Amino acid sequence: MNIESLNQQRNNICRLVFGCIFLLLMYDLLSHTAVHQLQSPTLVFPYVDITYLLFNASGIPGILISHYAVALLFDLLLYITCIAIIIYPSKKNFITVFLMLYFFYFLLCNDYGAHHIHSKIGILLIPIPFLFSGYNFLYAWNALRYFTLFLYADSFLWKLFRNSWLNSRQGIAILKENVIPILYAHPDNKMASLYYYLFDHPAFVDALYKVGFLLEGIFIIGFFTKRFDVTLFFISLILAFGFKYMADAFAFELLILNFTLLFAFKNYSLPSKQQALISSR
Amino acid sequence: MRGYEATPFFVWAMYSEKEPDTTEYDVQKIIVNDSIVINTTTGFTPSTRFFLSSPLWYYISIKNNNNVDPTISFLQSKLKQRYSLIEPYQHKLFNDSSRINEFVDWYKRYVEEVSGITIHNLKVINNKVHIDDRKIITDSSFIITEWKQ
Repeated sequence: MNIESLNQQRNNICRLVFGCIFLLLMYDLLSHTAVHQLQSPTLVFPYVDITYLLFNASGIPGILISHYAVALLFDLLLYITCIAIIIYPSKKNFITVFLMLYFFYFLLCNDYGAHHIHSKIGILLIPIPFLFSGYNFLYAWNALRYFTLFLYADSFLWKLFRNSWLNSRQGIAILKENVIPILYAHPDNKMASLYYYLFDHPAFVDALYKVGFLLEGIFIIGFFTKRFDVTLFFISLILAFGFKYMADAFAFELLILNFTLLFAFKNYSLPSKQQALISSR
Repeated sequence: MRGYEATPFFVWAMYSEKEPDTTEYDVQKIIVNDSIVINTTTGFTPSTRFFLSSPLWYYISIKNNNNVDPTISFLQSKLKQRYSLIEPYQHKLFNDSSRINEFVDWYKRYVEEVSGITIHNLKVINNKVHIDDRKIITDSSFIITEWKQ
């Protein structure tokens, strides 16, 4: 494989990925969840995650969140670094800085949001392969593809081994828990009649839960072949929308990891470590 | 403490535990300036809804735990005497009384930020509800917290 053409592809994908990240950062800005818009929240939720405990112990969250000017500067740096990467995709220093800033933003959102949500994990991890170029990029991109497959396969395995798929009321319990607050606040909701129909047919909702469970399991195929990556891409979209309507949680930011399925470099075989070393010299 | 998430080693176990099959649900209602209901379920992006709901739920769980951060209670029950090693750093790591008392001031500021309404007073009510014949019936209500100018 030609290293130059591979690096050109890396740069194109980098621009595309960081273009999407920039749009997602603008979405955060419109959502009033940029650090300077959070109004200095007070409650923290490290739970028993050692990373959050160390983060809180360091005093960094207090500095970033308590002073408006510092928070604004932090946000501006995050946006500017993202734009700089789009313009100069091969400059790895910008990617390193962005990764550090986004890691802090990720921790701040989950710590002060009082729940460790997973939707921003995609944006946190997808810059990592771009810290490399040449074959090393290909290895890292491939590793991230495996991580994308793993997150769905892991969801499947947790449900499998915890036997929740055997619970005939699992689907309806999830639906009611999440949808009742919506119906209470907004009785004229356009989905109301559909939700009430589903409440009356719990077996159907449970079947949908099991279909979702099996669709997550299908991602295991991706560990053995790249042939079905486009199919897996569409399945991940179905799961995201299914989750939105069944559990009122739309982790669309996580879908950024789907780029690893769309650009799976199927026609490239990874070289041995020795070949990779020779070609990168 | 094994089996818990340690970022970046994420655990993807959502909804893998058996869900309790309940008939009663807790629903929060935010009322500002005596009459305006802030509907957190519509009109906001998922990210805004997250910051309007999730810290509030955690605040409720602190209130329900006699004003003690549930993470502290959890660690005390797990670590027993060894918790004394963490105790000196408790105010930095978890929510002490000053953080808990400041919550309602922050919540007012954030509702103002996202709604664009200047708030003179704010009330958060918890309703216990159930479904009956395609209607959601309120069984009981209580005020979680209030803020007044």
